[in-house]
Amino acid sequence: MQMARPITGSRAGDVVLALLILATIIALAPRLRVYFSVTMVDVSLERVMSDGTREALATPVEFKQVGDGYWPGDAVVSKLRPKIDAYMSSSTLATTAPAGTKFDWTIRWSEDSLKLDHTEHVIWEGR
Amino acid sequence: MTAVATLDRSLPALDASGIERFLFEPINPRSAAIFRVALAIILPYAFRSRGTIVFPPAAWVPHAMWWYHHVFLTRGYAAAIIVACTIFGLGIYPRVMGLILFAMLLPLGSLSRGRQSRQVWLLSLFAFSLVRSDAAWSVRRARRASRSACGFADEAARPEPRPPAHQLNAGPIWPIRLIQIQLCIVYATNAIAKATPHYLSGATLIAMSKMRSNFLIDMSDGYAHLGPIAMPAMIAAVGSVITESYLAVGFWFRKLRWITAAIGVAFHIMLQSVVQIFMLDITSMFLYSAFLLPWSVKSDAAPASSRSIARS
Repeated sequence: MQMARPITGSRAGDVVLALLILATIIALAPRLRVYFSVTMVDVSLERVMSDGTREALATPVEFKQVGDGYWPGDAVVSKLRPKIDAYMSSSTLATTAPAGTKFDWTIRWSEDSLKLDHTEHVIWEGR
Repeated sequence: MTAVATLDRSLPALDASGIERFLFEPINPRSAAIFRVALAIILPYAFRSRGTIVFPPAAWVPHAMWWYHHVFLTRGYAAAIIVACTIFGLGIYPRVMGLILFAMLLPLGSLSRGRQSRQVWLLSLFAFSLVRSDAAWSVRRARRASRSACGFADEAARPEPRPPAHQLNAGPIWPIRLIQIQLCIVYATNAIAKATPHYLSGATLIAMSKMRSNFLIDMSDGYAHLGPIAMPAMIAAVGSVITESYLAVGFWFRKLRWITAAIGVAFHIMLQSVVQIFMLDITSMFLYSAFLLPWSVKSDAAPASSRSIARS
């Protein structure tokens, strides 16, 4: 069979060019992974009265499916803390609460597991 | 044993001449033209970028935002891409236009949607730009045919002049091989990434169905409810890994290509009912044509010019 004329003018040049493109394809291959990993995050909120009584509050909508499963586990708290601060600053929860009331935000998360095996608390005090 | 024999017949022998054929076999110009036109039609759709935001690595570049908001994400730029695709599709300097198109589309590969599919499109376009795809069904060929018809109107019997030998094909096949390899890498990378105990147990799928807003089914009860079928999440997870592993290698068996393509299409259609995917599924299915089109020159009827040479 007659072979085609090389693109670069020489077969060695073509092979080098092909290998360079192949190397790029392989080097960028990890970026093509989809839906193979997820970070589960669960946020719950409790009001803690001055006598220690705890009352569960409904989790605000913006804290459901937080991060859409994409946040890396070690960044969950650092990403959530500013959101919690912003929420508490703008809502009437803290300002209308009796003196001594605290708000306990519980952040539980896990990577690629249904067991939410990491927990962190963010405490907000009423004003 | 049968599979090995099939693969042996599908791939050229791994000696010097086999590798030479694998890389430098001439491309069928009609298949190259079909792929070029199809690519030109789908690229503007695949790179639609309305409502997207800039993501890294482009977002890390100083002043990148200005360029995106004033150039790359404007309607004028989208129109320019359509014009470039049209010129490319018509086969007007397809190698140059392909590379220009690659440069134009490159900034759109770093947006909030379709990063994976756009990476595949960009590398495929770059590889295909090296193919001399204007050897058939192009403005250049049409002009040559009309000049030939005008020049010899009074000498109808005179045979068409023989084009240079290298113009009877679309160049060596190795850029198409790269596109084929890339398709396999898409599936292989995903199959490998999912071959973990967490994923295979079904836990990752269940967690994704709870966490990801683009998941269309809830597997909280441990089952994937697909119409009347309730499939255990573990079976769904193992099935998807097996299917992607098969799709990564199946296309290299010549006799299994159409069956592999049918399995791939069925797999992607089934996935559509589980999760909303932006473009990677369509991209993968488009690239099946890199295996299914008859790339070999001898598999196509010889072009008119070569038929006349054969007669003479």
